[in-house]
Amino acid sequence: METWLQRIFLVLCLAPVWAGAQQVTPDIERTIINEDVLDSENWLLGVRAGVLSIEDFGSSALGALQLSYQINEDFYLSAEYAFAKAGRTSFEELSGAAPLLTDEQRKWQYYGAHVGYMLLPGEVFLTRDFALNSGLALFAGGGNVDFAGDKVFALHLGSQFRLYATDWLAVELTFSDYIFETTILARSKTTHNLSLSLGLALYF
Amino acid sequence: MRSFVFALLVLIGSSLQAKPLLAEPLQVTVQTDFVNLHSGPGRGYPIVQVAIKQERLTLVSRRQDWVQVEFKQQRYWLARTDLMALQSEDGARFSVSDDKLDAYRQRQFEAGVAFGDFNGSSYYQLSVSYLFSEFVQAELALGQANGQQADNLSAELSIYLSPMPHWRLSPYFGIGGGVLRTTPRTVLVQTPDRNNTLASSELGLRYYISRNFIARAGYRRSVIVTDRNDNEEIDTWKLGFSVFF
Repeated sequence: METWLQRIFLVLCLAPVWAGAQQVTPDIERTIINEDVLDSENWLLGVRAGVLSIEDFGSSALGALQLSYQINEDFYLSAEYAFAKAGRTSFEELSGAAPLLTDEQRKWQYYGAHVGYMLLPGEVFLTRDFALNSGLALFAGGGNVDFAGDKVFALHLGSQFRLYATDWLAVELTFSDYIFETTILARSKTTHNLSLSLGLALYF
Repeated sequence: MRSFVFALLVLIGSSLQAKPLLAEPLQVTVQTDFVNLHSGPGRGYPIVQVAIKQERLTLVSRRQDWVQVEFKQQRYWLARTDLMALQSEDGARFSVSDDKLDAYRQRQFEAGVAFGDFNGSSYYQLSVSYLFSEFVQAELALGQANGQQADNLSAELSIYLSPMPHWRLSPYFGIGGGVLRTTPRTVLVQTPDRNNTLASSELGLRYYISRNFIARAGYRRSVIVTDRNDNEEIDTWKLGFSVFF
């Protein structure tokens, strides 16, 4: 009788220990890698040359430098510096009068920033079996135009077509409009200065 | 102009500093059934290859939300969220998160742009700041405003205090001082540029957006010390964002 009772108690006492022994949790720490260990290439440096039509002053050669930071796959931020030299107005050509501006005042400079949106990413097929990645981006921004001895705020709107020759090198075709007010010809007016330029950009 | 270029160089310099020094290609194996490999880093680029479970990939570099991988001697792009499906050779997994609130709280440098209104004329500024602690930061800001009567260029050094740096939306206030260069806009008469001393106080809000971006809105009241009997007061409203490192 007594041993029978002792056995019951023994079983009751050991049951929780036995049940506990069944639940073995693996004590392994999983190591976590931060994605920052990978080299990031979010900056893009571009150089381009083209033509700028300065309203009333004809078309002239344009050079530009652009530094961009890719925020995500859709948006980017750019700082830009562009320069050109204005030609002569039709009035100066025809009247034979003294030039309106000095040589120094004919220098056109722009510096500013813009936000771009990659509207149409995709591929361009150069031959039947060979495709390159491409993208058409729209951008809007503003900055300063230094022209004719005056500094004015300019709106800068445009689009940029980018063709990726390799993963880090792109060919860019940029079409943009620099909109600003001028007071050179007596009355203040808003001018549209269109530019078209071709350049190279690299990721780093 | 030169000062803007300088600020830009500082911005790039500090970002390069933030880059990891050791960035070597990393060998990984796929742990889920498959991962898609795209031809380019973006939503528009098609899936051209698939890596199935236990296949090996080499991670090369990262661009925004995409990771460049080498697979069977070819380069492809993998969505950043798919990093979760990979495991390195020593059994480590990736953690993918856009919420870097801890990094935001421990940030040391900030670089930003802001647009706004400077006493009625359009205003924009570039700034760089250094954080002494999470509560105190010093900022150098270069601003330019083009108005109907004059163009203004300002350079100011400020000290800001953030009483609640742990909040996602955190208020700040501070004082600063610097110089303001005013170029009157005249057509016929050539007037000389004026240089004035400037003292300001600012009140604003900072909001941690995601990754390393911060949105910022502020109101600044400045006193321009002139040689006339009265000092001028100027209000500046600005909205912008900054990147931290």
